[in-house]
Amino acid sequence: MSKPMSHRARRAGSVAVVVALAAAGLSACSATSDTGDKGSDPSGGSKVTIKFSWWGSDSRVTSTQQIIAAFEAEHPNIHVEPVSTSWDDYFEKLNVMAAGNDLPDVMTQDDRYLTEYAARGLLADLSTLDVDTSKIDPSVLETGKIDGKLAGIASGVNVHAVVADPQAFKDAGVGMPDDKTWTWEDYSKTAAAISKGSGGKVYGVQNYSFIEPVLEVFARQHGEEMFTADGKIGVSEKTITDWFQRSVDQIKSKAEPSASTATEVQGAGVDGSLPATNKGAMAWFWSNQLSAIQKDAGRPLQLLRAPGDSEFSSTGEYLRAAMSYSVSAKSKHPKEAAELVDFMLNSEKAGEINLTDRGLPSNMDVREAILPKLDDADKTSAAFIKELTDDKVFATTKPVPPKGSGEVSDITGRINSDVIFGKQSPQDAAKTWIDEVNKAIGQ
Amino acid sequence: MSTPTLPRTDLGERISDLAATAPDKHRRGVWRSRTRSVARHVVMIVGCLIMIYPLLWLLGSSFKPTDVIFKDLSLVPRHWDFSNYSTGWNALTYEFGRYMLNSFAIVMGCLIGNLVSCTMAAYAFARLKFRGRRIWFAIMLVTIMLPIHVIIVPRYVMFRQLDWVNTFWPLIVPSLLATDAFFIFLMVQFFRGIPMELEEAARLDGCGHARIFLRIMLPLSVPALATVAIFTFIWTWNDFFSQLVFLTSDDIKSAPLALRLFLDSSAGSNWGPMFAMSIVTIIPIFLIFLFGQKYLVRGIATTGIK
Repeated sequence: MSKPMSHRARRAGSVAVVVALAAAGLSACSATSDTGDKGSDPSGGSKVTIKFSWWGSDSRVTSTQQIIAAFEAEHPNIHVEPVSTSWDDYFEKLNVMAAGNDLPDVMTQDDRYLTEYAARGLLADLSTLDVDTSKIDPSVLETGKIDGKLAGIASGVNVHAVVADPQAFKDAGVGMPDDKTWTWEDYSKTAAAISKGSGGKVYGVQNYSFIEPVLEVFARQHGEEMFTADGKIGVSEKTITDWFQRSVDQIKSKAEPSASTATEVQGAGVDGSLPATNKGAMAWFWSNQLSAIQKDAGRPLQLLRAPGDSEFSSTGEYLRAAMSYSVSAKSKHPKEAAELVDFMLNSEKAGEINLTDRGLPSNMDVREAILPKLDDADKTSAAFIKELTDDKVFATTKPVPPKGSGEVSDITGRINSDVIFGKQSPQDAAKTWIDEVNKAIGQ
Repeated sequence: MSTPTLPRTDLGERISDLAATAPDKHRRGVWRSRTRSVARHVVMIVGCLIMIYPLLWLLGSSFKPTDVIFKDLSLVPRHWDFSNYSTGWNALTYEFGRYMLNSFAIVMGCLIGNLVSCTMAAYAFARLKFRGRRIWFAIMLVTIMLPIHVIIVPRYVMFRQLDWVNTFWPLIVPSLLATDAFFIFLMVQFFRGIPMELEEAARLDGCGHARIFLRIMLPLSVPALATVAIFTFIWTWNDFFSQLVFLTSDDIKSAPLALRLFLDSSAGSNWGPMFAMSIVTIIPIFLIFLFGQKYLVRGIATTGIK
């Protein structure tokens, strides 16, 4: 970041000239276009304006605006200015704002970037601000602690699990597996049986190795972590090799689509996934995505636990913060920012508008309160998470990923393409993966 | 483009040659050239179809309900569903027309800015003699190679100091200051091709630089001006990153930003309405290209080849 800054310093002189010219230009053509200049608040007085940023589609824009309205009604002295973009552009915009020393007072964070922002000193320690965390699931709260500081608080939680289509199982004449005891071998066999039983019309499962969550599950089952608490790679080469090998084997046994179809399906996102288009019986997704997939599929779907939980030393699934709320370290109004975070987390009113849009609420009271209002798919995932919590599946908390881990997805996807198209053996792929991830996290 | 390169003296000779050899070779020649042109056209049409396939698919899909778009990959929808257009138009916080108008406002600002400022800067580089002219010209050319990501942060800092973030000014004002070096370069090349004699004659009649610029240079450079205008339109209309950075609140978002609101990679995306609105967003570009392409070609031809 130092480069643009020195660039800026060098241009300081010319900036003055540019500003003078700009002023001239403005007066010269003020009639040419009308702008939406409404930055300054005419009401003035003691009203405080804070910015709140989030990502998401238009439905989230609408619901968040409702939450903001409810918040402003309770806090008449605070005006909240929304900053919203779609997910793909969110961090591009936030990075520019961070470099420009203009981060929103309250921002939504993703755990892949949380460490990086915290390490750069951009985020305030929320434990020193007035945010009530007594009702938040303690294991979830832990996922936002970086170097002893509470950099973010999870809005809600998700779990990575197998989305299964019971109808597809039935059509193929394959029984639903018992997900409490099934092994990875059972998983591969079931998938192959479905492809065979349906006469090739429906695939057993969608390729899982384009992104890394299943590797994290697999590693945890072997008593490893993808990243250790001190920020190093914790997963062994053998585990990664085995994980890639399964993809290769399953393509060979036709349990999953060919490499080119798999790539295409992966690119089509949630809506184009195999269960959503009735073309596959299983796929790995985050529990909050079940609702969208079920809507596309047009029939009830189920969540299954990861295979192998009973096969190895420990269980694999982990609760992941769907997103977190953070406060800018440079915020001019930290008190008001904290009030907004508190409202988003703890107010039942906000919870009822949000429902599971930001993950199953991390506040246990709010979670109970909204349960009856959820649609069927969300009820399925809420019950699933409850069941796994009660069975102590999420016994160990996952360390916060290190700075630079945001690139792991891209790296995994790229290497996986080489693996499934046969350009790299799983063994070599594991080596490349470790190399590239080490570079990304600066080891 | 033009063909005045044939030496005149040969012309008569060649015509009589052709006339002499024509009769016996006539039929075969015609057949050969015909099959050749048919083959050439077939190849080109197939090429065009391949190129335009994604667009046709976009158009076809905009008439399908969202849930069948990825299930039914046919180009022509089984049954036509026009509701994507009405839902898409009204799906976001504001009507989609508002985002289109915002885009138009930005485009018009940039258009006027580039036409005024870049031509003036280009005239100075092409005709005025001032100290360090070559160095300044070289520096100006180097700025073409600066990627947006390098300058966006200083720009952001500057406009934030002015309190202009979340307005159209950060997008329009730079073009009023001739920051688009490509257009300056284009105009300089064009101006250099205009004969000096015209200018000298004007000077003898008592014109200063302002008049020479307005009365002689500008009227002669309509093709180049059209090129600048068309490119500015297309590039500004399609610009995404700087609009993403500078436009924040919903009421001043531009059409490309609004289109992204239909997508959500973590939950379901509203593909149907998004495709419909994409078509709507393409229409202005399409029209500009349709009516402007002859100027575009002429402008590039006359500035590029010396």
